[in-house]
Amino acid sequence: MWKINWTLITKSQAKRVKKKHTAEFESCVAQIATAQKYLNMGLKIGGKLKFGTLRPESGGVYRVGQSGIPSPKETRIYLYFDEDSKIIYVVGMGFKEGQSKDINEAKNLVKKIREAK
Amino acid sequence: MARISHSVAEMAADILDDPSAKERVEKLIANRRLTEQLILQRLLREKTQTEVAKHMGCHTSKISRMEAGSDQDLKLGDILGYLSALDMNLSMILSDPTSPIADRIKHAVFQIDDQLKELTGLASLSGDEQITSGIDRFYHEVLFNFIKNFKSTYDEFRDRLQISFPEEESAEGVDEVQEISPEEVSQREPAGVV
Repeated sequence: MWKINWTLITKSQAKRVKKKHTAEFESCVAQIATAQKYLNMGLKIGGKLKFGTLRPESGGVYRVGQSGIPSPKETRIYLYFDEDSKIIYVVGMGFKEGQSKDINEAKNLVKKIREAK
Repeated sequence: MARISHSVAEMAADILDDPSAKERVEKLIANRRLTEQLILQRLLREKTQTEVAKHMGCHTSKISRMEAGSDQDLKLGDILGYLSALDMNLSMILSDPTSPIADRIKHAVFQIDDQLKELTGLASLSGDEQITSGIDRFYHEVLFNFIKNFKSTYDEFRDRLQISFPEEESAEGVDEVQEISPEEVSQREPAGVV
């Protein structure tokens, strides 16, 4: 069974989201639950895992965004699916305006996770 | 709190530092059952969001929104279009939860009967020996599974209520329903099964 690991989320990332964008964050989380369900069913990542707002970025990073929220703050959660350990790592969180910086940071974290194996 | 879990709802509660977030996220997840079924069918058929969008004559972002939202936000026309893109049909069962359970069971039996008739029609139409023998085997499997499940439920019912029937007391001549294979079922006379 796949687990989710959010050890890499910093306090400042969490603070930004919880201040006033909880609905957006929760919408993203519900889609992560869907991904986890499919992975538990045995679906392989291999580029197939693309649904809702979940899609691959580069460097093994996936991102998911909010949906169904009126006048939302464009929110992103960045993920890395480690098929060997069956762990979904949350490697970043943020908003659209900071996404290129957030993606780079997420890619560096994925690199470190891969190197640590 | 350990920041690793099987539950994304627990993660949400921890990150938001709000225990009530767990319940909210669980509710959001529960409201995506149909949506998740649609996505799963698309993924199993290896169709992309773009292909579905093209079939439906809409932009990919609409498919993305459909798949990211909740069941309540889905429109019937969109569900039909999405399924059509996957070469699937929609089958609906309108059930009244207040109707007696016996009526609902009867209704289900009639539905199975209708579908078996449809299957028989298919066998007659095709004339293909392979299809016909496949359907024949399927009939036996249905009967086998029905008897097996019926017996198990009925036994459970009797165990719970500790019911003992007169014929059981004089057990002689009363056959226990035994585990039988679909092949064995096929060799028995239909009248003996009912």
